[in-house]
Amino acid sequence: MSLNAIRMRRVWLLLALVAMGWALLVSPVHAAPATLRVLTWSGYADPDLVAVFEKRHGVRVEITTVGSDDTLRAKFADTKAPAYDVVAANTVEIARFVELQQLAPLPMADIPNAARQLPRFRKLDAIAGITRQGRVYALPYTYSEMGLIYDRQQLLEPPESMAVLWDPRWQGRVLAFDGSSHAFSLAALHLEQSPFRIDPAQWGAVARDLVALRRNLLSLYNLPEESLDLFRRHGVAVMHANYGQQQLKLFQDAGLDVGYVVPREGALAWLDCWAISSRSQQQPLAAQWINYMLEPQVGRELTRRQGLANTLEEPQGLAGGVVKGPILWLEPVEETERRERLWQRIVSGDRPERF
Amino acid sequence: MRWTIGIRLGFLLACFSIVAALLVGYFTFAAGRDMLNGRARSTLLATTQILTQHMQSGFGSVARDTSMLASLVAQTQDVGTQGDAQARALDRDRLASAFKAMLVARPAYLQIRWISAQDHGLELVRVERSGMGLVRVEGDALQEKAHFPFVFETLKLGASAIYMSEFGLNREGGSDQGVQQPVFNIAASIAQGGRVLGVVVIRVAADGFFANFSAGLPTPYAFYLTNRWGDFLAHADRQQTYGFDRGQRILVQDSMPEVGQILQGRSRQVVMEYPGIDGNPQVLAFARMPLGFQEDGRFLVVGLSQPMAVIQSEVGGLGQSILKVLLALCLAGLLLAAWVSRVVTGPLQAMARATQAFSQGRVHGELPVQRHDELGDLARSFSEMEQQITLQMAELNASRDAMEHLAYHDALTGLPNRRMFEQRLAQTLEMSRRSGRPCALLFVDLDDFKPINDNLGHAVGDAVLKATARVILGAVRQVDTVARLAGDEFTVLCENVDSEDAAEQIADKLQQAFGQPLDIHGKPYAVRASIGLSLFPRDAQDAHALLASADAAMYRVKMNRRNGTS
Repeated sequence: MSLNAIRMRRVWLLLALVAMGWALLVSPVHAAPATLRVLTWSGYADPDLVAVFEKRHGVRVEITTVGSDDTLRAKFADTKAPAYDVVAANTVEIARFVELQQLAPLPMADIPNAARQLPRFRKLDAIAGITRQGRVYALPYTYSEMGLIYDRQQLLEPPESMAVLWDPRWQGRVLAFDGSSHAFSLAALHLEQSPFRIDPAQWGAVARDLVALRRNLLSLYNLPEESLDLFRRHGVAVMHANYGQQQLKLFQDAGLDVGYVVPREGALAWLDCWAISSRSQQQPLAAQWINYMLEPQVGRELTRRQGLANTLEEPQGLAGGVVKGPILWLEPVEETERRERLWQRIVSGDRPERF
Repeated sequence: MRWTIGIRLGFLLACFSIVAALLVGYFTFAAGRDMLNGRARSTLLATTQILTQHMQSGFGSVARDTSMLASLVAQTQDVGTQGDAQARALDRDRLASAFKAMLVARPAYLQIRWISAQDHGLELVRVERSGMGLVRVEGDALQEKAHFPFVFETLKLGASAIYMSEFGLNREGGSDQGVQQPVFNIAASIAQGGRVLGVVVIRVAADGFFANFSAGLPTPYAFYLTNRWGDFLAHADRQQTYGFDRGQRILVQDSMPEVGQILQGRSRQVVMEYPGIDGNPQVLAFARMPLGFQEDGRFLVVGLSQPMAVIQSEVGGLGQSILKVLLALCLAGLLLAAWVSRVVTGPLQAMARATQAFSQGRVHGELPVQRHDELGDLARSFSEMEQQITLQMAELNASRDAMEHLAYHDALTGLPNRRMFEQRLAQTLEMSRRSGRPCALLFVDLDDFKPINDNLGHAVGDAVLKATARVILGAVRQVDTVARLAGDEFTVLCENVDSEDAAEQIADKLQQAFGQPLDIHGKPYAVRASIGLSLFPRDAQDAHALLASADAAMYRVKMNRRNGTS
């Protein structure tokens, strides 16, 4: 090969390299896939399920998980970071976001899977906070109702009413959750009052009812493991299950012969919904995401992996007539601080005459 | 610079010693680092274990205080019997004073209570620390505590039992300090006649309690504590603690899965490395610490962390000292290389110089022939070769000198021969022409030499010729050149002869010398010589003519002598 031929080859090689470099530099601008930013709780969108959606729509999904409502609120409101397209939040938070006009109305025609949901999740008007002026702002995804767990050895029949918690027959064998908001809602239900709107004249009565409950308790618990420990060691008969069916599963896995019931008065329940941010630049894709999350196999995986109920099928724990009352989706309560203040005194052991 | 053997050898040795030093240094450093890391880890773990023991003994000392107060309560008369109200009030005042005294003595204690087993766990005596100092809470402010584990668990344990609660945020309101601050409670049952009538509970501020122990720890340590499910109760970052109280589980096994082994009971302690809250790497040791005084399976996990920087600074110190040793080793290696290079190449250079000097015929210094190594062998071989060459050269020179002598001298008499004489003659005439001083040429021929040879033999003839040469040499000046041209013909070339008379005098002196008989083998033998003289430039202008003129003059003398004219 002559020297000239070698030189020519080098020139061609150099040109080819330059062309390739240019192609690499320029192509992402045209070919970068759209990115859907999702703000959610851990376990709601596992990587393998996300991958299916990414493949189907040729997009990238960026999942951000949170562990508390406070973090969720802060991240969703952060205007410095790129906007999240989709958010999973409970009905109380959704109501807040709607109030602040941070959500976009859902294009229901693009979410056909909503028709597959259980009847109680299709009556969206009945779920406080997720609709406004005829527009739907969020669709339910998963929930957990706070029923009663009872020892089947001690209570041969499932309790009908939550009054069982106050029943002196079980004095010292009852457990309740240490949380002000739910505790007051529980007592209000017991007194057949509105759980989220306590009549100002009734505060004293509700508080004294909670003292009565306290006197009937073995103890209050914070953690599900703690409740299991107390239940087992102290022969507890009945318990208000703040962690719902997850807690039931924990007890059953520990080998306890327990039953679960939603009493006549109803059970409080948190309900997490999917919603689209008003800041989202790709709302059609976000609607596709919500539609995907409502597919039966996604719902089934959520139930199988996390022990959380989906909105398409009734959970096993609620089968067999254990639902004796309504499921009451959480709503913002009238005075959070007042409930906290009073609850703190009740927990501390103030006697009824002080309320 | 020439790439000499010495430089090459030195370079090679230096490279080798530096590489060797570096390798040794590196492996020493690596081994030392691993050892230091291992030691730091085991020290951290040991410190953690000691800390758990100290904490347990701390819990024990709170338990003894509680127990002591419980027995104090048990001794008061109103515990079991329904005494009159006044006596009961007096007893409770005394107990309140005792509780106060205890709170004064123990700054970490927040509150001491006597709680009844009756009336939903109603407090009977309660003294606590508040912003105003120690306060005794009385009347309506006394609360019901039966739903707290420190009451129902202690009562369940029976007489003379001690119960320790979980760590938690203080959820009991009241005038005391420390609402929402981390606390733990230790309770002792009050028994009278085998009946459990109540409990004494001491509430302890966790921070104040830990301060007693962490004060003894070096500052870079951070302290961790988790409950038996992994929730952080103490953490370098306070935000990570009591997450469950805010509805958020912050579990140690989520960020450090190794600790899960302790939680699951598969291990009693773990050591590992993780980035700290400042992002810098740190070593963490966690150990299991039983909680409470019963074998009920409750435990806490105690952890300590230490920044890697602390260990790394030790490693850095090690590295520095190794580096110093390394530098010293390298320097020693370089010096050694230079020395070895000199030791090897010094004799080689000496021999190279010697060879050079020898080839130029100069004198050279001593060779290292006394060495008992390869260099010694080489030097000895060289020395022998030198002697051999010197000897052969001397012989060669001698034979050359002899040859040269033969070429220019007459072998019999040792006088210059015709060839040399003609060279001398030409040189002398040239000198004479320049200086203008005349020179003389004497031609000497023995009379009747042929008969001597014929009659007495060649040996006598040769002896006569030798004796003739001696006579001529003895008669002329030192500077004059005497030569034998052929047979019995001799010439004498006299330079710088000032006058014709002087030339005649030389000829006369020579003639007179032949007046004496020659000494032939010790016998006198009379010989006559005819001498012809010619002068330059008087008689001839060149060498050939001058020689012919002298020959002619000699011939004339010989003829005159034969004709009888003297």
